[in-house]
Amino acid sequence: MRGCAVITGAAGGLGIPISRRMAEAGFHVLLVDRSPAVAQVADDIRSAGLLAEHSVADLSTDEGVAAVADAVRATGIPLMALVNNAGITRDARMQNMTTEQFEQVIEVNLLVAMRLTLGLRELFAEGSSVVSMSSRAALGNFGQSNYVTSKSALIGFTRALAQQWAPRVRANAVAPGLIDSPMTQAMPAEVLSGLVDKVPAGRIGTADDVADAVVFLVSDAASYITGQVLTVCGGRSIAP
Amino acid sequence: MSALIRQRSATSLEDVGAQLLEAFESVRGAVTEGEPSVIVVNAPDLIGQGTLEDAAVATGLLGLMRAITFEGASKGWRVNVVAVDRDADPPVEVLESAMTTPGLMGQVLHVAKGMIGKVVP
Repeated sequence: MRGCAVITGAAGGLGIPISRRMAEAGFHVLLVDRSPAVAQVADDIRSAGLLAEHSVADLSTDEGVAAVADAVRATGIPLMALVNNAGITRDARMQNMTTEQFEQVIEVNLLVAMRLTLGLRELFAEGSSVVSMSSRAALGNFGQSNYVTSKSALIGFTRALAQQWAPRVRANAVAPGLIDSPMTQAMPAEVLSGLVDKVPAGRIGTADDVADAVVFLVSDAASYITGQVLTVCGGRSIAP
Repeated sequence: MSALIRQRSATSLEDVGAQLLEAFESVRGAVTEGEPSVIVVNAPDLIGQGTLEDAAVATGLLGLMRAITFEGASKGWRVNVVAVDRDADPPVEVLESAMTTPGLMGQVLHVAKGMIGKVVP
């Protein structure tokens, strides 16, 4: 067993496969989400003979962060990984975006990650790792000025964390591109097909593609990698 | 009226959010009126050579610039970032260029010697 790994947004579309792959990689996973559905995700992982527990917490509050810290301590094992995966979208054209939409996305996608990371500061063991979920959209995207801002800000946070907490803790980010999800599945087929045509890899990404990148970054194979962004986009970010 | 936004040292997580919202509203106001915006950031913060909060603000502002340009390039919305050494004043010529050069939009203009040999944010 490789230690405790905290995964936020664990009941979501990316959170579930990341949680499962982290458990398969040998971590005792602590799954965190605002949704009680996270309990079922933990049950499913345990039913496969792996180590998992859950915490329903609102990480926008100090109490929520404290609850997660308490849950980590209760495992009695070292904290070796944190995956800041929780995220939301509140898309709107810039001119129609409300203050509330902007603030909600900054809060959940950026400030929750920062607050939790800092709240767990003393618990990280030597050689541990933080992976934050950015996005290829950090390079720009239509109707997502709030989301792009938040995901770009996470990259700066990651770079600073990598320098300030070194060498005890590594910090990296994963930036997924077009990934098969309920959102992309809801797109008109011709729109989705047009987007896939722009991906040099010739296919849409899967949640497992992203989960594999996360598992790699927290592994010993990535022990000399810190402060970096691993873009998982099938080459889209360099294509015309 | 054009917008000139200067990154400030962030004192808390709340201040990070407040600076990003303030910049969003300022840039939106400018481009809606057809005016250019320039956001001045500390270059070292773009690569995390400072506090966690300042790094988040600097790269968040960078993302904001890219998002708004992505959305409004075809409408001529002009937003650029000027990255300077920590707390340095940006050269007036560079600010003018960022505001007026045709086709210059959605870019980071580095006026910071500390960025030589570093990753391009």
